[in-house]
Amino acid sequence: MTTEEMKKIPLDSPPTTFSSLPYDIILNCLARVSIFHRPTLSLVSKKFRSLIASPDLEATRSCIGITEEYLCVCLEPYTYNFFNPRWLVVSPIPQQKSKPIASFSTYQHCQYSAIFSSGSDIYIVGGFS
Amino acid sequence: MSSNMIMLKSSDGASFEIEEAAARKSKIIANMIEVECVDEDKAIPLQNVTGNILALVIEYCNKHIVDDDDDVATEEASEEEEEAKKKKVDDWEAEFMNSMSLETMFELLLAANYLNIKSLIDLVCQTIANNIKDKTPEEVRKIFSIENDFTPEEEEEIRKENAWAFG
Repeated sequence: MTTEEMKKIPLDSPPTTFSSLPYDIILNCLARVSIFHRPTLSLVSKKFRSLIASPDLEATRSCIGITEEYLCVCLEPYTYNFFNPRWLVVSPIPQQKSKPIASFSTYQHCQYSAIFSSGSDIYIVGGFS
Repeated sequence: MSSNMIMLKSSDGASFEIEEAAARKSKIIANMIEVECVDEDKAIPLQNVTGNILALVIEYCNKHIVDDDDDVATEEASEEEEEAKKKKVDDWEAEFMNSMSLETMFELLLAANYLNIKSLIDLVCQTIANNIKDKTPEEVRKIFSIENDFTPEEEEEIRKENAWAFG
């Protein structure tokens, strides 16, 4: 084998794949994908699923300063003597439905309506009673 | 600006000359310079980086050192000028990333990680993330050559788990 040929053959052979990258780097890539794509990414493989579910993913997101704006709505199905508000994140992806935020379920919504604007949109929030 | 040149040597023996200011983009090399580990006549051996990847790293560093200098020189630049400059860098970065295969991106990422060049790690990770957003699980598997290790039952279970409520 000539020196020229030797140069062309990588010393530590197998081709670099996404799965062979260091854990931190894989997290750094996945953390940059919107949370709305997580259901899809969870279906790729078992490894992806555990990465997406890992608390390290959130830690990485805050570490690299990734923030996302969500529109959240609070729905309260009418039930007698029972306060049962449900907060939902409205997905910007048309095919997806709204996702409930479990940890928000105990938060109270405004009793009276409030109006606010964001950019050119105006929102009326609350005011169920 | 220092115009000192230093030499880098790739794992496959290729030597590259680079301005010290550009090489300092790598925290590892910057540290070596700080502690005076760098001998002017000797190349710094980079065991984990091949020549073709090192060439890309150097291209990136050279480009960004020029931009950093521009920033210093035109501190009083107007907002439009700043924006135009940022767009120029963004365009260059898009072109730079566009020119390489996914496997090269992974190798560049490993090199940037090894050399500790944060802005390059961010750029490549973001490009990879952009590659997989809006893709189906099948497409992501194909892009990354990942095998589907779920049974159809498991897959169905996860789909249910992830179902979004309230259509």
